[in-house]
Amino acid sequence: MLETIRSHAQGWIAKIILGFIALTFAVWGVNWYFEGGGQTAPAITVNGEVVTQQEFSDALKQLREATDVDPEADKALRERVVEQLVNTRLLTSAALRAGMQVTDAQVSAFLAGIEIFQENGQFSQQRLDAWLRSRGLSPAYFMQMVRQDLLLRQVQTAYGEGAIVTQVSAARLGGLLAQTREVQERIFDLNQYINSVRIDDQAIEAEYNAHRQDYMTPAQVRVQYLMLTPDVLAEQVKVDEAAARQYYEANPARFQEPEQRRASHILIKADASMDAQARQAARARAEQLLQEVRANPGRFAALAKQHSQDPVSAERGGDLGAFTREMMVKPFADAVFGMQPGEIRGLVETEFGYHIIRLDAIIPGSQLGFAVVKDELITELRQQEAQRRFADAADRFSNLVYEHPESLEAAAKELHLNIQESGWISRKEAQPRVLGNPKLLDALFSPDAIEKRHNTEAIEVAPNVLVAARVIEHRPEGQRPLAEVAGEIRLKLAAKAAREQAIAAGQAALKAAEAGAEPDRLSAPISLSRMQPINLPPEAVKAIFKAKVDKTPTYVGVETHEGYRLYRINRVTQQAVSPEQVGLIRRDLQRMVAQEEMRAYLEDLRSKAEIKINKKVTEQKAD
Amino acid sequence: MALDLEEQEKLEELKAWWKQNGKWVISALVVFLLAVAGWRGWQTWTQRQAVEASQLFDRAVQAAMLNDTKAVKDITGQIMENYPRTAYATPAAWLAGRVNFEAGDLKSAQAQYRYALERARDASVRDLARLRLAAILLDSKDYAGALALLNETHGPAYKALYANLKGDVLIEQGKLQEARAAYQEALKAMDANSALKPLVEIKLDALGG
Repeated sequence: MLETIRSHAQGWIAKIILGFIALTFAVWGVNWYFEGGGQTAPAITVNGEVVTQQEFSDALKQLREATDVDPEADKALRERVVEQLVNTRLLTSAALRAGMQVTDAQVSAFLAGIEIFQENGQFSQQRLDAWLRSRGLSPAYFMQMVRQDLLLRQVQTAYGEGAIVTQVSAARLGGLLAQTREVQERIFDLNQYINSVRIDDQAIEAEYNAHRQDYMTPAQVRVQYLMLTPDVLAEQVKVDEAAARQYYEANPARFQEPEQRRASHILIKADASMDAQARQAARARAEQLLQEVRANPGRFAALAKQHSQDPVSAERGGDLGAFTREMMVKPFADAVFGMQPGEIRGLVETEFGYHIIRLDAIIPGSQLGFAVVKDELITELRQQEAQRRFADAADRFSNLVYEHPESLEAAAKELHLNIQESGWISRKEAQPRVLGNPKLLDALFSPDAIEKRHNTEAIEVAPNVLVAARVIEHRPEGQRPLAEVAGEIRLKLAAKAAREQAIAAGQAALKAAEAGAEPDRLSAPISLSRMQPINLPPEAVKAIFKAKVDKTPTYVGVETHEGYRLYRINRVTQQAVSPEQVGLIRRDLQRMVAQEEMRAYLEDLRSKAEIKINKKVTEQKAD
Repeated sequence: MALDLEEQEKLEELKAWWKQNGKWVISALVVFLLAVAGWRGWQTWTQRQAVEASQLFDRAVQAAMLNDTKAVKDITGQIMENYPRTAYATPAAWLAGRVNFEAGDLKSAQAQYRYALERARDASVRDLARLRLAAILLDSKDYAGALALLNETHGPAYKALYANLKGDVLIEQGKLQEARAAYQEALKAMDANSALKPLVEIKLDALGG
């Protein structure tokens, strides 16, 4: 489900762009603008707009890589992708229909704010171009994608930012969450009854016959497999010291520690929230301080301590310690890195306010010695080389396992891989995890693999992990004999009967208590609230707070997985809720309400739209 | 020569016709051109309005993120005043209203949420606008007004949210049985994965479930 976007951190924006292509491909698919994917039946149509199968499988691939998929959940995953694609289309066309627009200027402003497209804090067209080239995207296409994404974000903000939660509702809920009830508990545990339960053989047989499908063994296989990854290749790559040294010498900039500078400052705050008059006053005050500093540079530390509005550095006479250029905001860094030691400069204006700066020392950058970086560099070069060889090796691997279907020897020998053997695996349980890929399991349980004992094709079970496998032993699905499962069934039936007895005993105790007989063996008093449920099972907490408490003590009982729990509610205390707590609750609630409203809005759009989903995309397992 | 004569005659005829009808042809042409220009102008104008309002709206959202309430009010005010026909009028009013609401200025918030409802164009956005205005009225202790809004017909997708808020209003009025029914309705209509669901359950449990 799409969430209202309300995060403000810079980190979020960076994440958006790094995951941006991923996200946008996932959401839009490549063919959205460049039509032509019309040869195959569409995966989804929303009000006549087509989502192609290519788009669908791209989106699915993205999501699969992002989440650790358990093969059983594949269908659910497909449904999630469909929902996302549909929601995105619905929201976008609703925005366009309403007349929302995103301009080139807005797109540019957005891109300019993204760190990876900046150089020295400024937007750099070269960086953007290089980034686009490295991903093989045309600028026009990319701009269009950003535009679509901004539109999507704008419509969510437009409709989501107005969600409110009333003070009244938040305060009432706060009161309910803070209410404390003191209880005493008695647990009727099935284990107290299980020894007195007798289960006869007839009952066991009846259960076995009634639920035969619960007592099956799944089809299982044992396999040999080969795995090809860049890491495996890296072990075969040799990189000697000479090559590493050559790289080291060719790329001196990489091993350069940047220059650092030590400076002190006095800050008079003037940020964006202040009006012009307050800024003017701050500036005048800073000017005055600057004059004092200039007249008597020796008092810099004392003045910083007394007047600077940066409390941390003020404590230390304005000292900021050593820092590199990147660590400071641009106007500040520009000033410091243009100064001579001992120089005092002012006023430097930044987003924080007005600074008076003194440069205390320059710590020149240094070159890291070859000996220090050697090992790391060799590993890195090996991995690079392995990565480079991987594409060719993957092709060769696929061909070899296909051309020699009777064994994995040929591929193992040529590519220097180890043939590994698995234990028994079924579709539900496959170890190691690489064998749990749904596509691989489908191939392993196909007649070709089981009857002919042919290799599966090379399957990419995870990004850059290729696996080919071959069945060496097979156990068909079967019915487990009664003798084997009788013990299991006896235990199950005994537990069930014992739980029933526990519940009956608990209910009788409740009745007696309500009639005036004080129950025995009650626990010591426990105080709990909705916010602090003290390890009680959720159903018990619910029952305790649902109970009418017109008079205390009062009794309430609840069935649990272990049997029954009886509670004596001694007293109810209403804890005070501070305005800050109400504020916090209101903020949380507001987020939930905004989310719920967006869900409702989308559902409303969906109910009015004509949506066709190609059954193949949600059911098909391998693609 | 005969041919010339014939041509001459045709020309005379044409001239005569033009003398009689030329005015009308020219007027018709002018009217047509004006209509086309007007249509194009109208399109350009609405397009420009949307573009300008979109940029203003982005700025207002940015200001809201920086908690610059003065700027939020200024910019959203501009949108409501100068771009009331764009899709951004309703969202701008909501944004301003929420900022005022959070600052405790219920009166301004109410005016802005009312404006949002008036300017909301499609039915779904109107359902949202009504729900939100009802919440403001609840905090302003106008229970009857809030209930009147919540009792208006709305899309089935909004049922859970409407019923939940209705429960909150009814409790304030001391109508516990009706509130209970409202929460039950909300729970029934609510999506199983909704984060609000457990909270509605807590409210319902407090009324005896």
